[in-house]
Amino acid sequence: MRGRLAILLVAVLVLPLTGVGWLGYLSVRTELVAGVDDERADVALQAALNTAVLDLRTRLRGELSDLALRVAHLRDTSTAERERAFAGLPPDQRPAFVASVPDGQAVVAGVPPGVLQALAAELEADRPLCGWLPLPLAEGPELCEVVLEPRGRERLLAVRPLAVRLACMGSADGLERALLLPGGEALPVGRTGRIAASFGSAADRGGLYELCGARQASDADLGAAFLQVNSTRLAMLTLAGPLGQPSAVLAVASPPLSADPLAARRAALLARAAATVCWLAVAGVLLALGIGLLAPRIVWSDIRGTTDFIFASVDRLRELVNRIGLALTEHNSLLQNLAGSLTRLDAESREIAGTGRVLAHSAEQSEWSSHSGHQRAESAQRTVLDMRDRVEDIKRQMEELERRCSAIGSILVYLDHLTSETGSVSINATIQAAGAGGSGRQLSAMAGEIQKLAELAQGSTREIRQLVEEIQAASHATLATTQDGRQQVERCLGAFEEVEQNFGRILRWVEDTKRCAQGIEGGTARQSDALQSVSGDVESIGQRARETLANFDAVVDAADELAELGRRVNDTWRVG
Amino acid sequence: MAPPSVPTTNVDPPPPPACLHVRAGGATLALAWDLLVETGAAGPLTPVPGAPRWLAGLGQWRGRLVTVVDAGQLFAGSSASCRWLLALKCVPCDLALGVDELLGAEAEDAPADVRLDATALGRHPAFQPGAAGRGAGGR
Repeated sequence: MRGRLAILLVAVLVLPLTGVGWLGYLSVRTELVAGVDDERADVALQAALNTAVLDLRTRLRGELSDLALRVAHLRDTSTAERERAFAGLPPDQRPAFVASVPDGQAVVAGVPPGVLQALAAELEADRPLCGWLPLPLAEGPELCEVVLEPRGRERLLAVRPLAVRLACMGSADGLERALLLPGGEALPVGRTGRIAASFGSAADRGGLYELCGARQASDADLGAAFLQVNSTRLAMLTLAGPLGQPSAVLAVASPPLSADPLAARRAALLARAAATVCWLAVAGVLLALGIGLLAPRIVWSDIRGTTDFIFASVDRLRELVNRIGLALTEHNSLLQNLAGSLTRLDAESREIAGTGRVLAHSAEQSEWSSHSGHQRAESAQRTVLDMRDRVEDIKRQMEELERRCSAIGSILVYLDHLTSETGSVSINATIQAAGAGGSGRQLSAMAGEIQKLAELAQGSTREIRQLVEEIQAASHATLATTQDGRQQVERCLGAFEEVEQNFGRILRWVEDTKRCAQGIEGGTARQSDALQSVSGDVESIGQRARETLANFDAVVDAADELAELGRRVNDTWRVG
Repeated sequence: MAPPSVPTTNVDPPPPPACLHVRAGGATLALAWDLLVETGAAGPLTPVPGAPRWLAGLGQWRGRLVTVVDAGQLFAGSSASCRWLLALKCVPCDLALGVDELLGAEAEDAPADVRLDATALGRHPAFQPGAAGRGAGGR
């Protein structure tokens, strides 16, 4: 019962929007009356504009009878040339050019047949296109295309009549393209405003358009410009400007407007509105009946589907709660294991920190030992340097001794020579003593003594030479030994330099080790703090998990309540 | 080392040694005193082309040109250094023996490889007139 009342209420509130009932009638009528009012305003504006056009046409008819219009593309041609070109034509046969020549083309309207013949003659004569022609409005419109050479030479190439249709028909926003040429080219006669109004039957539809301006020409140059259009032909295009100024006018006659076009229009609109209201009312009644029959079944089906979905969701929720509870229990166990691991890791970090302190202490001891060894190495190096200087002194002294021995050898050679000479003298004395006979015995004895002395001296010289040679051999051996010692000292110096460098490297390594040990100590201390913080976080997470596990009981209770609510809804709506 | 003491000559001098011992070409020569004129160190010798091997060359002795005979080559079969020259007498020309070393005066019974006196030297073919031109004992 309550469902039927709700459906009826919905029908009452919604259906007026579709045109059923009194509210629907009022809404449609308001809409139609507003449209009729808009059209009425448009028709009034149309009438005003039509009146203005008629007045303007009358005024222009008088003014344009004496007005000669100049073709836009002939603006550089002198008046005398124009008059001379068409001097042979009667005034009523002179063409009136009333369009622009954008790129060698022009549209000419209001051209009588005689004028076209004259243009053809001009074309055949290959003469410049120029001249003044009156605008014979009374003879009815003609439209032709004038083809000229491009700008600069301005020679007439062709004149072709045109069958022109209007491109502005049906456009509600304005007359953007006034003429559509047979070749598909759009000729912008002028920029127009919106369509003021349209009235009459489809076969005799005319329009009044307001030209808001003419192409290229400013409002000051243009006196007025109006265009009236019917379904078959261009009715009127006027353009007026000061004589001798660049301008263009297309003017044709338009059929007279009906006297009261609003009455028939209004009656037709009212009849169409009444028919629309009737049809909408019938459709609304049928729609309400359909909804009243189908809605309860649709609603019951939806309620049953919804409650089934609620039951299934509750069961699923219970299953998920059970699974989450198991997962949380496992999670709690894992957190306890993690807490134990963190505790052991903390203990190991403290042990590493202690090892780092011991290592730093050992590094300090090694640094002191390295300093001491470095100083010892430097002292030993200085001692070796002093030893090298002493070996150099020994070498110099031995070389001096060698030179002295060489000098002694030279002296010994001289002594040997002297002893040899002495022996020779003693022998000569003996020879002389032998020659002297008995008186030379004393001389022979002295010669013998001298000979003995010479032999003794020779023996001593030989012994001295032997000693000198032994000294020289000893000095040579000493020099060689000194040289070897010097080389060994040099090698020892190199070894000490290497030892010193190694001590320097060891010192740097020990310093690096000391810094690393201190860094390890600090890092392990920070790590221990972080581990304690992580342990606290793990404990907090475990607490949160236990709380979440406790809250799941409340979730299960809420699911039970939701299932109870679904059962109540089924009982209320008597669903299945 | 103290030098040896020189003996005094207060008693009668002994008789002079019988000969002069020299060394030449590895052999010891004993020359009689009456063969010798003088001894002395040899100067530079000028070799004589085409001469026999025992003719050491020409030298100068107290401003005179002398013929130097290699005593080692002549009496011992091997060349001597000819550092010392022994000017000889009882030979047909100014001639000197070239020896290695003067050993000194010796007694007559002192051992020697070759003993030379005026008689032996006079019979030696090398000291005959024109011996150098014939090449006696030469190559």
